[in-house]
Amino acid sequence: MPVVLQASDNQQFTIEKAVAERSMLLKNMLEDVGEAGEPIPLPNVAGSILKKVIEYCEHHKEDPVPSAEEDKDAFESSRRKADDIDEWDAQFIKVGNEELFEIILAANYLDIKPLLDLGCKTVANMIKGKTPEQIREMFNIENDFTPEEEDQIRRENEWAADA
Amino acid sequence: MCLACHAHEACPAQGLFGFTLPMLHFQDLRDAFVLVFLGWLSYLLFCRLIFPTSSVTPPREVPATAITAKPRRVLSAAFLPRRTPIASSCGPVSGKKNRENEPTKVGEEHASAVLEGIRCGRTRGPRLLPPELLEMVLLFVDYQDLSSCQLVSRYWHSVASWLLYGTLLQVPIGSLEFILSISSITYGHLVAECDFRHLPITDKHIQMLCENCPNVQWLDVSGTSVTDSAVEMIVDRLQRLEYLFVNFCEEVTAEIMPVLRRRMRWRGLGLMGIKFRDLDDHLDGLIMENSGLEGLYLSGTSDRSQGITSRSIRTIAHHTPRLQAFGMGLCDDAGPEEFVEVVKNCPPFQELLLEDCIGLNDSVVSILAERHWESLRTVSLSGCRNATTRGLSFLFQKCQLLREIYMDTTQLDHEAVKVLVEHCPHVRCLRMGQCPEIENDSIVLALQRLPKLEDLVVGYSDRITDTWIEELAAGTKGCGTQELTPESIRCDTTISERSESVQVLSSYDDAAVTTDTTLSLVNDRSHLSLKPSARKFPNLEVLCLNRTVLHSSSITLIVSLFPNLWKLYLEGCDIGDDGIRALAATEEVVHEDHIRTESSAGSMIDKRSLSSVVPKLSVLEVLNLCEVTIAQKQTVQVLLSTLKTLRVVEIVGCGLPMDDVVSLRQEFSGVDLVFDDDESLVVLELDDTGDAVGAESEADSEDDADAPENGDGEM
Repeated sequence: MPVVLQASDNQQFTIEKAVAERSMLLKNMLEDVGEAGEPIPLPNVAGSILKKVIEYCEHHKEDPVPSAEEDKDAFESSRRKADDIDEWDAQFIKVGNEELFEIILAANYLDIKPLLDLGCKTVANMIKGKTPEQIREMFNIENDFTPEEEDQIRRENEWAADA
Repeated sequence: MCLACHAHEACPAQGLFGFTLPMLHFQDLRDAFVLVFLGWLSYLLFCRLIFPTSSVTPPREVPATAITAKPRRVLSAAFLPRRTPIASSCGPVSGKKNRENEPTKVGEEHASAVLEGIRCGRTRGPRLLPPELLEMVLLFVDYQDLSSCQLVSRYWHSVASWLLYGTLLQVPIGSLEFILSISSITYGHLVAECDFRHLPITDKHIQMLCENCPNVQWLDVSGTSVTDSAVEMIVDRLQRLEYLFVNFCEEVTAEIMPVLRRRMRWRGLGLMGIKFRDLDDHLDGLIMENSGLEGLYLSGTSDRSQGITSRSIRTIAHHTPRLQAFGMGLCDDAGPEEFVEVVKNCPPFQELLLEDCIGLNDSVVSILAERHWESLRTVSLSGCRNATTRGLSFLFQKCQLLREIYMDTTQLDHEAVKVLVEHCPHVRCLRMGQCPEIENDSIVLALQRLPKLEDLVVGYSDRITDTWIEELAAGTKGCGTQELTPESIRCDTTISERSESVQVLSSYDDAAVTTDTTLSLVNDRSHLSLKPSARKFPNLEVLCLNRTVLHSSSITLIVSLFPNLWKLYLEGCDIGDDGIRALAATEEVVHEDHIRTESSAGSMIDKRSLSSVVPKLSVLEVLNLCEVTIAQKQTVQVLLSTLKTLRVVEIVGCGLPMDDVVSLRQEFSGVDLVFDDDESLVVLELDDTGDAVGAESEADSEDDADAPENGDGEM
């Protein structure tokens, strides 16, 4: 039973139910609505991003479905590891910053936990070892601190520098 | 009479509107509801137009509340003192019930066009990652990088600060002192969770914490040296504290019970290992006063003479409506009925630790499985010897989400393990020490079929032979097991008299193990299985052969198999003088080789690199020969003069006369000779870390010709 998704720009995608069910949002929706066959509108996701997301879901459709409990497990350890990205995923997520953030937002909206994690890990890896200045540059962020404020934060964070 | 429906004297519509509407002529009640529904729908649509973002970012809200309402990692039980992965959390279920807020399909189509317009209107740059997503990203970032993130912008600062200071989890002690001293200024109020388990914190730190961080809700000081007065301070000063864990704090005594009872809203208490008198009376009071208890850990708080009674069990069963994690050991008094009451009445457990509860039988286990399968993550039935393999099998079959399973000293057998691997793919920790029914295959099965296994303990089973380690060496490669490091496999066993041969890997030496080093306990008759373990762990640096039957040829074999060995324990191995000389002899060969190589090359050669070329022992630094009978002083002399890398040799209980030891000490002053008469064992521990220093002093005192080479090897 195929499922039709409609992106914000009215592009339509027909995918297998198993693929759609990688998204908890769609899974719940399909459970509620049943087999209506009508396209499901996804007003928060642009066609190009949705295509990418579907590509991910296609590739991972065989994976065991992570339970809600497993998400909680991830919270357990103080810091989570960002270096366990598999090869296919690493290739898949090699996209521009703008697209990467769109994918994260889409994964969050569609509730696809592994994709969301993948996106977050990728961003985290980009941050790793960078100076604040480099981070700002990378993500095009404006520095809205006064020099005094910056100084104070620096002083307060001395402990982390040699932790 | 109501005009709406003509029929009944008091119809629901009347109640609904508060008055009747004579002008509206409803056909029947349904019309009225349709009207209400339409009104509601248009209200929803209206709201959506006004606050479009509410559907863009579903569950969480503004940053401020996101911070305070962060899903808390609750009650990570410090169940076993050290080197135990944190037990599963049982925090409030988050984000599960948000489905109602999701857009329904009806209004969606109309709203979507409008929404789209709004969305396209603004550029969605990275800066606009909503706080909960930025937080998710930063969860993957370590402390140093977080402090960089704080400096990026005000927005990033707010999110990163919370992550840096909100949860002080296992922060190194030096940093912790720094944080506690400065946090009063800026961040003290942010600190909400503190995990100080096994950190060298003292009452002084607790005092700083109490003064500077008034909002701590969750504090774990298990395994630290805090005292009763610190606990009193915590209880009195941290008004928001709801979770307190003082498991296995040696300085904490039963005196804290009245202190704890000054407060009435505990949600989590960990009191493991504290010996209370009259625990039963207190327990009743404690449970009655704190109806919100989510976690209660009492294992090891009672002893045989006064275990927890069935009365307390009943109290727990009926007065803890929110209990999710419960740990209790040793309950001789309670029978199956009481336990049935507990598992029937308590809400779904996430963690249930019931050690040595004899009253616990199959029927309790099956009810437990039936009732709690959905939530149960950690279960310990160690020592519950009346639960049979059938009950356990049923438990595994039902509770498929189990993560940690403690089954020491139970009737667990191979069949049950089969069921376990079949149904519980998430198991991370499996302990089945002293289960006499466990077989080789059980271990192989566990290793092959449990992909997430990190911690496996087996032992004291006559049915385990060395074949399993060969399987392990051969099997783990192909079975898709994630890198199962040696130190995660343990066999807490000494050689059983009757067993043909027991091959074990052990890693209880916390100080020395890194990923590719391990301690190993080997029985002499298992030469064959030494080889696969050498293949599997070619870089073995620490080998423990305590109380195994060895002879001189075993020593030669060991030495040739593990070139990187620098710590060797032979406690209680009766290798005698011959064996020790054999050890020295192998080294002589190396040395001749070594010196020859060096002189011909005419340059300094790094000892370690050489040893990897020549598979012989040339880096041994620590040798434990306790309780190995040594008849002659010369044996030790030979050993020490040939094994020049040795820094620590333990010869406690070897039967050497005192005079000999004294003269040996004089002769080899660079070597730490641990003998019966002193308490140098502490020194030994320290020496392990002082590599370079030790090597230098040894070189100075011993042999000038070797000095440069020794120094080099250590660098």
